[in-house]
Amino acid sequence: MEASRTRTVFVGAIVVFLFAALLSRLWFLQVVEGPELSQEARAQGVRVVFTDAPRGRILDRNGHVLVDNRIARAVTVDRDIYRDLTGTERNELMARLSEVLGVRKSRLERRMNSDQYDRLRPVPVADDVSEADAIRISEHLEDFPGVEIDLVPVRTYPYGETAAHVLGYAAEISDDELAARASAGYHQGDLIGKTGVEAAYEVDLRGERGEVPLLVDADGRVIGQVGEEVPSSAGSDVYLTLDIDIQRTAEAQLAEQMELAHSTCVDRDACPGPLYNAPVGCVVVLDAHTGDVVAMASNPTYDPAVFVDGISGEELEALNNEENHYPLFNYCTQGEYAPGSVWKPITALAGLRAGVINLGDTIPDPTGCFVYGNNDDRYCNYGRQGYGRANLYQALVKSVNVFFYQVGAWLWAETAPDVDEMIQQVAREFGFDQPTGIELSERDGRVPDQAWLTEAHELYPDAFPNDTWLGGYTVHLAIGQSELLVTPLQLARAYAGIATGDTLPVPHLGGEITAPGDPTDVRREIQPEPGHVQIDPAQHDLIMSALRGVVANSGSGDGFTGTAFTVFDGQFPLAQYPVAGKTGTAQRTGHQSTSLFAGVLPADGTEYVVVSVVEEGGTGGTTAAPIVRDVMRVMIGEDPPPPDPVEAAEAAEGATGPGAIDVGEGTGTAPADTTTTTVPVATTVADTPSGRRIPSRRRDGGCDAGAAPPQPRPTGRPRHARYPRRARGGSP
Amino acid sequence: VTRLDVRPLQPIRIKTKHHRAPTRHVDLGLVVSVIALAIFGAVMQYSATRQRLESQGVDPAFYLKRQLVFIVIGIGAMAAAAFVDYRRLHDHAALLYGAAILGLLAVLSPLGSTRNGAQAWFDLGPFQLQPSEFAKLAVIVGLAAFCHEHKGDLDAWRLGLAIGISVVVLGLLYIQPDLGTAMILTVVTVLVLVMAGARLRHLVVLTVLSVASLVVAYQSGVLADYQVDRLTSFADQSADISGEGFHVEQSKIAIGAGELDGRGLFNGLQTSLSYVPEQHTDFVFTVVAEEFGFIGAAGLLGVLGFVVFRMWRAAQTAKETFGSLLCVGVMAMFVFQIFQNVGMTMGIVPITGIPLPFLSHGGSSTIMAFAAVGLVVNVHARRFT
Repeated sequence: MEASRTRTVFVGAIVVFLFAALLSRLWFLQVVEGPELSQEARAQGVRVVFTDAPRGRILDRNGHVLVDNRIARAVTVDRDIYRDLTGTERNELMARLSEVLGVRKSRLERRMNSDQYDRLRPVPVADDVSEADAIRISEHLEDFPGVEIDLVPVRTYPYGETAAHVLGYAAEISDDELAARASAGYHQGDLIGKTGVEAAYEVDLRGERGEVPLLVDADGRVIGQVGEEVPSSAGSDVYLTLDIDIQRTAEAQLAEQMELAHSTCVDRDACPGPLYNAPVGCVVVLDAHTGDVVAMASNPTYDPAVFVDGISGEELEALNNEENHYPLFNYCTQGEYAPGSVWKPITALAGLRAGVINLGDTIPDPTGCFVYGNNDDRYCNYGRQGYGRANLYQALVKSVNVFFYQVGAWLWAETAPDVDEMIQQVAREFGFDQPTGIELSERDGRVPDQAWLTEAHELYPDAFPNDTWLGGYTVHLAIGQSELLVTPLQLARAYAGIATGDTLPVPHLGGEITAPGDPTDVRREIQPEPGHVQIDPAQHDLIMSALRGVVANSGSGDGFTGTAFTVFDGQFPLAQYPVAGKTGTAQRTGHQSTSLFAGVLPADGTEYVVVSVVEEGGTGGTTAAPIVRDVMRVMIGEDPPPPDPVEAAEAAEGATGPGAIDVGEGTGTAPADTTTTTVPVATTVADTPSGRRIPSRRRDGGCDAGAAPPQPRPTGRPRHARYPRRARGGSP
Repeated sequence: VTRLDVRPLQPIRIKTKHHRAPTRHVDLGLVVSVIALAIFGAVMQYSATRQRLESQGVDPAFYLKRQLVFIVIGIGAMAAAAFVDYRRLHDHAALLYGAAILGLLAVLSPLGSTRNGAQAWFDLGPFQLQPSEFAKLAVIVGLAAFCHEHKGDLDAWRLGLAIGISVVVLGLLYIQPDLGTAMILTVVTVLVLVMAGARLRHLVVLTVLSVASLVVAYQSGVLADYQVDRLTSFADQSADISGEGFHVEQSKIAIGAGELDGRGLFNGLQTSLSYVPEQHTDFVFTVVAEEFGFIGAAGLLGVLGFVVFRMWRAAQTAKETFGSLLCVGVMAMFVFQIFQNVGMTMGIVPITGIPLPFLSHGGSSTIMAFAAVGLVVNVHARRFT
């Protein structure tokens, strides 16, 4: 032990000092700063990940899925990593992405620099890439710094363009919408319904996004979950009043007849000559009592899927283009037309109510033209044909203008001031000049009167130099011309009022809101309270019989052949289904005539109003009436609807797969059937004593429980027995 | 005038009497302590790595199993080091030293492999051999033998030679580079020389010289960038979020998160999420601190302190200078490795790749630590012979 005592103590002291230093530092870190550092440890390991909630589905009344969700691959770029790249690296990255994805580099960069995306999340530069592209990227992730493939739900449209205007589309929320709805829990990057049902039922369709607090390791790998997960809740399913079969029929018939019009001469006597342009048209099928919109077709149409992966300016331009006749426009609710002769029942009701005519009154019409006032204005019948004398029935059947001119003139001439505007008054009672209340964006139309003229004169003195209403205006208004404008849906609604004699329904597309995937869990039923109209029963009977005469009166007795007689004669079982209707041929300055037809199909103890309007389609009987007739033929089961593309696809799949659904075995998937021979739907209806409005919604799941055994439908039973009414007097 | 007079090593005479038989005087407390520490360390390594390995689809007990193998080999090495009389080591110190130099030269040749920027390993398939670990021990043996030979007679010349023993190794370590081991070896050398009776004025001059050379090294750019980084990030620990400062920050968070009583075994948040780098090797102390809290970490330091104390006792009671200096060297090595390693995890000393004896994962360091303890047990058990 040569070492001196001092040195031993010295070395020992160093050792003790070092250990003491460690211990005190340990105490400081763990006991003094421990709680704070502990908090930090918890915070840095936890990432809150948001889980997107799928939007609710949209289904037709029979449970056919019209809008669904599908998982798409989105390519995202991490903001932080991107920011840290040099200019050249960014360029290279974008060039590589552009090459792989086949998207222009400038578009990728625009999205990268856009501030419309959530600042805390990676930027989605491409929304729906193919699996092959996704694999190409993920195999070479080292070439794509910051790039990831995310799975996101996107909208799919199994029926493609069908009902596009009704369904509308959902797209990423804009900054303005976000600002307006910040309190509703929307976030950047969320989908929001922009138009149509998607917008109208946004509240129901939208799901609540969930939050999952995840433990993330230093490399960002997810290790596990910490704390409570807030589950995402999928949006509700929205069942529409639409019947996809009738919808497809309406669209197909509309397109077919428009096509036909394109090869029809405007002047039959000067053929070949100018043909009809028929650029746009529309068909509405409305349940007169409930306001259920069974079909609503607008042409031209578009594919809502173009909005799924972000529409390009070019594509949007094409959809908003005058040359393409604005395909985004829903002509059923946004198109405004002079109704022409379709208007005449309103004039008739006004005349009857004002007392200027009575049932059975006849009005002379020797020349086919009507001379009004001091001016030598001549108002003539179609084809300037004179009919001698005509009563109201005959005037409606043959659409005698002179009769209604006279009614208009009398209304204006009556000294009692409160009948001057009787036509306008009745028109408003039947829902014109105001929104119908449907969930879609719509126009009000216009019923001109003194008040309107005064305002128009003030606003546009050049176009309306005269600010005093003249009798000639009322005379013109009487046959649905003048400055009168109506939407096809308003027409359908008014005809529902005429057909029922008391109910003015509120047209609606929404049927039921149910829990996602569970049709039995109804969260909300949509049944807007209808308005009412007043028609004297005798007047109602006469007008309805006259409208039936329009399609059924051969004219062999009295010479008043119905204007739509040739359209329906021999082509529709009128004895079984006494259809009523009215043609309209509206003149439009600088354009060919607008073709209109409003029909009423009594079936099922209810009435369906079918209205068709085709711009520049000639007379009502030329284009519009055949469309209505053919849609009605499908509705009563006379014709099959066009083949269902979804079922065709399923059948093709089922033919190869073992678990194919066999409709023939009556498993309750009957609504899938599109033929008219053995449809068990009608019997399923009978099984729902509660009178559910949408009876056969068993397409997905729940088929076994209480499904009715398939029974052959009694021959001749109307196809649309699938729309039974709620307990309404006299229903079958 | 200094006189060149270096004697060759003379054999130490060994007296044998039955009641003084070394087997009767084995320091069981020390042996049991280090084995317990090693097993505890293996469990900690398992805790640090199981999540990560599992997420990679690998056997989560991979490191645990491998460490257990090292421990078994280490215990064997400890037994071997305790079995042969340590004084034979004195006789063959030159041989041992020469072997260490050869090993260090070989690792710098293409035979050695590079990891983490240092050419310090022989790649032997499933595990790597780190000759610097054994070189440390060889230097201690060499120094002790040399100073034993010249006890009470360490003039400037002999002192220079003694320093030369470690400087050769330091130079080879610097080439690798393995600055951590070099630093430990420097401190060990100084302490052994202090205890060997080097003169005070020599020690003062030595201290001034080494501080000056450190400053020169830092200024002249001899040190690699990352070495400078480590030093500067130590001074400013918030400087770089992803660099060394970040590692220290994560390490401190892990230790602090343990608080007083810890999160419990396998419950460490920082630990299971792999926020702390090299957590099964250099930063294994953070696992103990996070999962067992201050109580556990202080307890671990206590056990390590006990081990150090037993070495200190062995040095005090050793039969002759060689044994005493051997124990002092081993003790100094342990003390400074513990301080360096634990201090680094708590941010009070710069980061160097120094393992925590018995607790860090690694074959060379574990086996070396056991062998070093074996030497101490050897000295202690033969204090009467």
